[in-house]
Amino acid sequence: MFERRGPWERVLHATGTDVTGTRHELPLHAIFGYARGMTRLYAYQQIEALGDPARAAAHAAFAAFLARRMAERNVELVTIELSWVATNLDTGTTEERAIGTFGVGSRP
Amino acid sequence: MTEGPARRGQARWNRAAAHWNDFFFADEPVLAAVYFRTALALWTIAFFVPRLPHLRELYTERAVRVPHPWLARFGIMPELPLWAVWLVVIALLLCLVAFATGYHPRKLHPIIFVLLCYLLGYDISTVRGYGQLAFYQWMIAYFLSYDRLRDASGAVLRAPRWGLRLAMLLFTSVYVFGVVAKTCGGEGWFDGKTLYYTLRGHDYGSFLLSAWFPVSLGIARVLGWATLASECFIGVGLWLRWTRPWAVLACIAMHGMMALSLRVSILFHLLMVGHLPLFLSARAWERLWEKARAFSAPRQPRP
Repeated sequence: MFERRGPWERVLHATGTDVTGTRHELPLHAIFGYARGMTRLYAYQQIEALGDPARAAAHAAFAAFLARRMAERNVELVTIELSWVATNLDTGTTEERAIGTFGVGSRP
Repeated sequence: MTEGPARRGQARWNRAAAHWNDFFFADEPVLAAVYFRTALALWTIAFFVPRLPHLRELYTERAVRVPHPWLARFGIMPELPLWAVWLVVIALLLCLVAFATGYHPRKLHPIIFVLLCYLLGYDISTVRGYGQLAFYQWMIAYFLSYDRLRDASGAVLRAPRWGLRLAMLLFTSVYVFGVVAKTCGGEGWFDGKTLYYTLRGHDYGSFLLSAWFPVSLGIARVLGWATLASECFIGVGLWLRWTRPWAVLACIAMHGMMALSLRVSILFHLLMVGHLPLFLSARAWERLWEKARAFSAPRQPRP
């Protein structure tokens, strides 16, 4: 369950931009409602591909998935930025680690 | 001159063989097997009920396709539409209820297993830890004598206990291999850092006791060693008659403390503590059965 644990905890952030340039913070906790047990770990936080910089295709697929879910909420996005925000439990400092910006305007 | 040692060697071998046969193949009342059948089915129902509001997220359109590695090898896992997933889950729950109550459990068991293969294998929130233990117990449970509790005369049936022994061995191996994984494959258990950051973090920690009484690294180190020692003791102590009661207490205490300080599902603790009755002796099961019968029997009116 937690064979190893470091001082850093990370949270995924997703921000979309629509055709007018308006930025939208994506409600990941609403799109992904299931949290493992009593934890605050949602399924999207456990997708290993999102932590692997080499798996760009998986990142783009995830962004396209989010765009489809946002469209169901009547928010049409053209780009989605994904990033991890890591917090150091010892110092309280935060670091943003970008995953990438993905075009989702011509989503299927 | 050489006959003595040879005889002693043969006698030791015979005793070992007798112990082995007794350990796996002695007959005992099927009470424990029937308990395990019912408990495992009820636990599995409790595992799936919280998932019902999230079936779309968990089993249909995938954010990123990550089927279970075993199933990925086959490459034939169909992605079912939501209505079909509902049918699969409802079928599973109905089968589990029937299985728990003893309605054709031997026939239902393979159906339940196939449905679990799909649902657990295709779950976006990849099943780990206790979910895996439950899955493997469903495999092993097929070797339990759980079909009927009593014969035609009403007496409790007896059957060889090797299936139950396998389930018990799997359960205790979780603790033993947990220690191996923490000490050999993991990091930060000897210096306390893993427990320290787990208790302080928001993913698993900052919950009840860990939120009210934040631990220092020194205390976390002591707790880490105590956890490793407890897991070793539970894994081994449950098998020895004179340490069994203490191992049961250690298991309950450890899971109680975890439930009160870590954000781990209560299902995990229920599954682990729910295995402990398997370690009751056959005589203890029979006494419990007699008490239960006496309690449920209609009282005779006093003259």
